Amino acid sequence: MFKNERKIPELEKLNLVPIMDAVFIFIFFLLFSAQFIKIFEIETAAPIVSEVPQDVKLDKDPLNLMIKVYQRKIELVTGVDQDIQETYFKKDTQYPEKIKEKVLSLRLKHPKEDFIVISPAPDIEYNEIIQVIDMVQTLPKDNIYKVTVDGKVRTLGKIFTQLVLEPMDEL
Amino acid sequence: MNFRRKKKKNFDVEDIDITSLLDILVILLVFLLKSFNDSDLTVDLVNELALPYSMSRVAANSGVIVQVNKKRNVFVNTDVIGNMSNPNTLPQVKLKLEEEHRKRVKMMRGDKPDPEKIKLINFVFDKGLKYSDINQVIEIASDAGYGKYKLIIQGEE
Repeated sequence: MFKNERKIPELEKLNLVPIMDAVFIFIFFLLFSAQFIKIFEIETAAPIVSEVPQDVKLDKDPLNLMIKVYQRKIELVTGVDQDIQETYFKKDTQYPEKIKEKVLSLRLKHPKEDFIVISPAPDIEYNEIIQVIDMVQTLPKDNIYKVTVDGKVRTLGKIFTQLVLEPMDEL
Repeated sequence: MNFRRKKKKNFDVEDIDITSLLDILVILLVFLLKSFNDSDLTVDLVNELALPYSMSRVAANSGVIVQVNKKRNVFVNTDVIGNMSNPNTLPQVKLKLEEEHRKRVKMMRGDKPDPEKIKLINFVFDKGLKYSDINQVIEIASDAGYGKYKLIIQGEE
């Protein structure tokens, strides 16, 4: 007799129209900006030739790292006298990993040097040059590498950041 | 005669069910967000040009674009200049690049000119191109006043 009948409040319908409008406009902007080929860049610099004044003290043992890319092998050259450090033959399938390992160890030994020269032979294809650039720039995954420069600890983003492409005949 | 207008029956407009449409839009949005690229460079790739893949993840910046395809045809901002086997092509490329350089300097005169931006050139080379050809194009660009090169590559999935 005195039972309280609970009134069930009627749920109002959610007005989705403004959200829909916003999403629709958003889709147009995204469609315009969509690039289905993901394009990125690799920065290189022109080879700079400059005269060093005589009173400037040069580093005793500069790294001067250069990678010479030939049809069948890759040479890793360092120092003022351009001594061949290592030679990697392309028939060895592990050569990219070996180059990366060596280059990284040199970078960690010479924290101040962030400069590498890549010198391909004239008949080397562009694709291979890009692969070599990847070898000397991309750090191995899942590891953080730190160097100390002038007392400050820096985390490496790339193995070598500054890159110069130089033809072999100019050397 | 009965001239009285017949009363029109008022039909209740039923609500259109937009749930399925909304579902499609949401799925489309996810795919579009995935393909969104924040770089300010848009490259209209010319025919017969395949970009090499790289692990680099640096977003490309806008600048003059020089493209060289598999057949060694040279393009400056999608304008075809000629084939590299023709000895007149590279001098023409140089002239075109110098013209572009002047245009950019003029455009930036009003604002604070950023010398780094003026010097910037983007190279889009076919992956099969030989370094001897690449070097010729780079040297021409250097002679035309560009000193900051960006090699445009395709990101690996």
